[in-house]
Amino acid sequence: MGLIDTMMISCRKASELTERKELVPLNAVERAGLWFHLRICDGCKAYVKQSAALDRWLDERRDGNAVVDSGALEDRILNETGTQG
Amino acid sequence: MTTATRTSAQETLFSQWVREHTGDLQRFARNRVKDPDTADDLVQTAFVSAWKTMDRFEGNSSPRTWLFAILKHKLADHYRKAYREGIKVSGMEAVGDDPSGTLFVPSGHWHTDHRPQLVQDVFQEEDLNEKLDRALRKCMDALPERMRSVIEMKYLLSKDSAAIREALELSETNMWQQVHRAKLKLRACIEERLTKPQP
Repeated sequence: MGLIDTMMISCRKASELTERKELVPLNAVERAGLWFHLRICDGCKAYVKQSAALDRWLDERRDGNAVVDSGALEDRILNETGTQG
Repeated sequence: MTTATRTSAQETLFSQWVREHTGDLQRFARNRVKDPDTADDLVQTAFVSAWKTMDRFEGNSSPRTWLFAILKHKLADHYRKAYREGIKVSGMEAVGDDPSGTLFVPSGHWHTDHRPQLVQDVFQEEDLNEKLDRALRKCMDALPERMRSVIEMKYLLSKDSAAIREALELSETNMWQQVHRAKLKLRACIEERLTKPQP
């Protein structure tokens, strides 16, 4: 298998390497393959961008947006611990 | 009821914590666990732990930081259990768990229906608007519990791969395979929600 064959990775592989890169370092061949693939594939370029956007959302979470009424839970906890405030 | 010997000053302090921080802890948990009752139970368990170990709280950190640290422990326990039970129920390589089959053609290239599209204003990097926020919540809830546990653990443990592997008892290969699958499924779900009208 020649160098070009090694460099030509599929979209499936490219998306896999994109996710793996977040957690463990890629080796030189993998990095080169991903770089090369992203030069020629708009779908995967979009995937990388979207994956990064999702990552940021998952990291930051808009916790403020969740609507809760914590009163009942507060009472339950105080009751459970025997501290009635 | 949970018994622990506490001075009345401690009782007063504890009830202040409960009144002050329950809402934030509850929002945090409900955003990270599908079932709201389960999320609330985790918050309650965290407070009970805090009550029992209150003597050890030395005030080096704020009560809020301390309570959040306890809650994160409880969440990690929850994900660990959910992940293990998921394996028992579905088997390790359950069919339907791996979305690759529908998203890619056999040669490994994107299926035309699932190829990510560039320049979609709803998916812009800075523009995490309400619509996307809602889609993300729905799609996280739609993930199989086991898959969600892996992805939640990744962020809960700040992407520390060794810690994630240890917590879920996963091999390295298995860990990023799980993350990859979850991410593929999540992305596809969100694009679907954003581009097709929902019933």
